[in-house]
Amino acid sequence: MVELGLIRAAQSGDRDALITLLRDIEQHVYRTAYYILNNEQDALDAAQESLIRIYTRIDSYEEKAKFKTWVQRIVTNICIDKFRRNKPTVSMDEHEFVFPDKQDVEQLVLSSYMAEDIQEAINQLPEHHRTVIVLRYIQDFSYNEIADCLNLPLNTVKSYLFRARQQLQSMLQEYQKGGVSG
Amino acid sequence: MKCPEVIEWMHRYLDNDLNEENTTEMMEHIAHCPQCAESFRMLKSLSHELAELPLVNPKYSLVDAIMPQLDAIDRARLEKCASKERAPDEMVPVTPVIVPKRRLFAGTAARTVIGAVAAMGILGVAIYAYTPQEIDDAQMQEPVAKVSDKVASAEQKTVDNTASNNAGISMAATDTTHQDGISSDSVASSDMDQRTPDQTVENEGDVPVKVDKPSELAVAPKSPDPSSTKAPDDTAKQTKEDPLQSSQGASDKSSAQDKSRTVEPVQGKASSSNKEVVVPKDTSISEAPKALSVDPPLPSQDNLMTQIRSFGLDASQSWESPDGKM
Repeated sequence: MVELGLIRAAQSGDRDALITLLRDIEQHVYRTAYYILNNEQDALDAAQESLIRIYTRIDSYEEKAKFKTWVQRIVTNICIDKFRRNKPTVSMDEHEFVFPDKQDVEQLVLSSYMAEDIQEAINQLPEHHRTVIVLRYIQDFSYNEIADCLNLPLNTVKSYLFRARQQLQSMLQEYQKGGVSG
Repeated sequence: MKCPEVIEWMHRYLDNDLNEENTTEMMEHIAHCPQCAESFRMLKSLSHELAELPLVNPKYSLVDAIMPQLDAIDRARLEKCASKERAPDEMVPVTPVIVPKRRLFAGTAARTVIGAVAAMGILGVAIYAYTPQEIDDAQMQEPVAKVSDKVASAEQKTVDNTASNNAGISMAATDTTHQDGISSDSVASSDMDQRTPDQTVENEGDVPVKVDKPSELAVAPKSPDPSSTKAPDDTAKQTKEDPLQSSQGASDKSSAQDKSRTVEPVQGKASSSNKEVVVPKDTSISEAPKALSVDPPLPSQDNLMTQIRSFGLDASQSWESPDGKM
């Protein structure tokens, strides 16, 4: 993902290296924020805040951890804080706003309909389940990487993933039923 | 194998956490269990959909967007650095407080070292200076005894001289032979035996008083090896020479006696400082005549001439060999 030499150069005070590093990771940061927050503007804000935090705290990174898990820990922490703050209003707005869109897309393309359903279902997940799903499928993290990123026991990560999938499955079945019925 | 367990394995299979053996076992179960097969199909579909979620990208470069903020952070850091650089200037009065502590430690170390060196020096000087006093009882016994011997001998010489001078009138007829000298010395020693015990008694009586004056003691034994040994020799020489002078006048006699008395207190001090010295003194008194027998006898007032003669003889003997005339 990112060269170790670039990270070391950034840590040693090479500002250009640090900027290059941020450019390399900004998409990953944004995707995580986007799927956790399920809102583009919030995702942009959270991603920028994450990049700024990485910029200021690059010295605190230790090579014993993977850089990508360190980055994703920063992003998920910021997103969870933002999610907790914005959850009531945003979710309501998103729900009302996305629902008609979902119906339109649903009627046009099945795949996108499924993606929208999945995104909506992800948005309904508890924050930890959602984060685990995002890290597992958006960042393609392993159990161990998720555990390192979220400071969770490995079995907890596994159980979160199982429950998240089961919840998603049940929600998607309901959406499919609803979609079919609707 | 139960279905819930297979479903858990399905999840692990989707997460690439199931080994081949368990995978085949799970597949066998799925092949025979339609419910699990349906669940597996749904799960695989969900996982596939999750994996196929669109890789959304930000509609603008986030780094470019945050560049002003990053520059602001850099400026804030520079200001912090500047404030930190200023802080030491303000802290300069504080750092000297820390530095003196270090100096204190270093100073104490240096002071201890210096103090130790100084103490060693002082102690060395003190040891060097007080070695005679320190070893007075140990090593000074023999020197003191020798000194006492010499003092006694010198005293006895003077006594002999005085006694011989006193008794010389009666014993004037005696020759200047050694035997006569011995006899006269024996007489003198008897006289001295009569005299010295009294003096020693007096000295011993004086001992406490003199002991109370350590300065005199300190003066006496301070340089025993060179001075006290030489001093008796000097006094002895003086007493040897005294007869020459005393023969010219009776006043010299008294002076010789005075000198002999002046010598005696030293002996008394030595004896008082160490009672063991008294024993060798007594022995020295008995041995003194033998020692004195070597010395030229100085019997009488007429001995001036004899002594001169003897001195001349001695001188002539010493001079005889080179000249060959005498």
